[in-house]
Amino acid sequence: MEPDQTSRTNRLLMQDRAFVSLTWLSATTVVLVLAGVMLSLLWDSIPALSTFGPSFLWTERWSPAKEIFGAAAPIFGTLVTSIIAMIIGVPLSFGIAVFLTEICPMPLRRPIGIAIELLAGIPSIIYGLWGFFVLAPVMQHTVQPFLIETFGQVPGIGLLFSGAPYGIGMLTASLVLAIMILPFVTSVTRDVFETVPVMLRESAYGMGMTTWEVVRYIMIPYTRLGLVGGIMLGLGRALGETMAVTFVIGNSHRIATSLLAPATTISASIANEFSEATSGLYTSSLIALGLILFVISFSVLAMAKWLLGRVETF
Amino acid sequence: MTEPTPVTDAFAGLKNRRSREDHPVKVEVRGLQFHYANGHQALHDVNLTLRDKTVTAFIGPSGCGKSTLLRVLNRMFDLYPGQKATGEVLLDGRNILSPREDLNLLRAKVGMVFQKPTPFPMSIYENIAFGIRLYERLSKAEMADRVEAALREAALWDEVKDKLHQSGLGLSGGQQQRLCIARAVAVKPEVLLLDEPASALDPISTAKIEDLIDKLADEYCIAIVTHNMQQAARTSDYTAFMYLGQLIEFDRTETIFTAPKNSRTNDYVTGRFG
Repeated sequence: MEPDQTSRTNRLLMQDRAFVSLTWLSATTVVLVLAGVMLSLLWDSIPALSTFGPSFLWTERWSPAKEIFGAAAPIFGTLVTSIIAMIIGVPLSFGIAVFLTEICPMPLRRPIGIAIELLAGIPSIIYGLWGFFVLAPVMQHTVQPFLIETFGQVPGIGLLFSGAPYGIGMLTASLVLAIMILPFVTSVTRDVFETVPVMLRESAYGMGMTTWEVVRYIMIPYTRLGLVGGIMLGLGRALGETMAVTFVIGNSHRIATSLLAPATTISASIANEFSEATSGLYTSSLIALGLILFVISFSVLAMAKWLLGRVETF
Repeated sequence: MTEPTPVTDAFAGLKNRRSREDHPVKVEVRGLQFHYANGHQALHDVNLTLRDKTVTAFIGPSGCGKSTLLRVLNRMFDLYPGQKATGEVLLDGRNILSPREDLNLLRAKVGMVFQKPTPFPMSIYENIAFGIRLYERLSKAEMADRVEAALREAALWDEVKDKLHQSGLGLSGGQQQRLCIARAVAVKPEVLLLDEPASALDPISTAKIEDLIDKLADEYCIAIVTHNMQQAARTSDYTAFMYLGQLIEFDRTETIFTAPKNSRTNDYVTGRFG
């Protein structure tokens, strides 16, 4: 081999080694950051967890003045708003996905699909502003009085719609969340619907099934893992959403039966109070809330990834 | 241009072939033109008839329009906006291309089986019962009888009778395809469309499907698209040779394979192109 060729080969080898190490470094950084976040959350929540013990999880009281902190109200608010958001958002998303894959005329498919994906691009603070200045007044003057006068009078479920119409509260927060998860659940649902083999769809229609029957009995059972994955993905987003919820939830550390009542969520509490947290225990309690949220959303997203991963291996 | 040579080889594969008498016309295709959404014309003025209790094979090179023709017969193309069929397709004298045609009822009358097995994501039993339930209300016992009858008709009963409530996806490819045939015949259709029903199967499963087609021909008007000339020769009574969206020749199968009138048909059945 010519000498200059050897040196060229060596140089390339060196370059390649440097490049490989760089990509290793980048990839390891991600893992380190994740581990670091987890560790620091754990470390900084030790004061709160050791002071209050496991009862931190089920104590409703949150009194910065007396330095008594319990996570029950934010956990309750987080779970309830997210679940109601799913109850409203998931059927809507399924409907949109079915429309887009089965019914929508070809020329409209892309524009509508893009419009829905753009919903995901709206910054959450704008959802918050809209929720506070537009949705909340409508809720206060129209929707909530109506709910109180109708469902509110029914024994049992009336408890869910009792109290004064504040406008802000869990129901309003759930509605905003429902709109925010719409694009995520819709696009996953549409994608998994598109994994249904053309021939399977055609043979279902070929049996004389209606669109409803094909969706209900063929597409949904065939894609059920992916659908649950999509729902979990939406749930993960709803659980962690901060800004939009902080605007419209009312920020009250109380567990109320009424959906119209102001409440709080984990992320809303943290966002509202971190600047007021003067004592070490106060700060630590907020960080412990963060740890709880981290564990909840991490498990939900991990579950979603796992379910969606199984779809691709069909 | 050489004189068309008789092709006895392809036809020699025939076994126990009964010569079926001429049954009445079930489907009549008149002046059928088909356009895809992009404007491409896939069928040019196709005219042919399918007789009841008779097997008609559509052969021709890929893209000749034979599958397209099949998909007109149950209006499957309607799933795809922009695809358009003009002309007439008369099923028992009624034009099924009419916009007033009820597609769900039409597809109950005109069953279809696809290239690949497509069991529904449910049990073997439900795969059959589901289709029946779309059109009829039956008691549990009646339904069980119908499911058994359909599975027997598709020569699958003995292989699945002990696992009716397991998923249809657990069956072998050949069994799945017979399940799809059972599903199609369970709703008592009048016409059966088979779109290369054995193309994804091994030779033994293929032989079973071909035997089955022979049996089913006693009851149904069958149209089969196939790439396999021997299969067309073995299973069908009539054969339509298509090329570039045109029906080149349509005649009794023995005529197409032994004394075709058109030189392109001859070239194709002798394997000179396609």
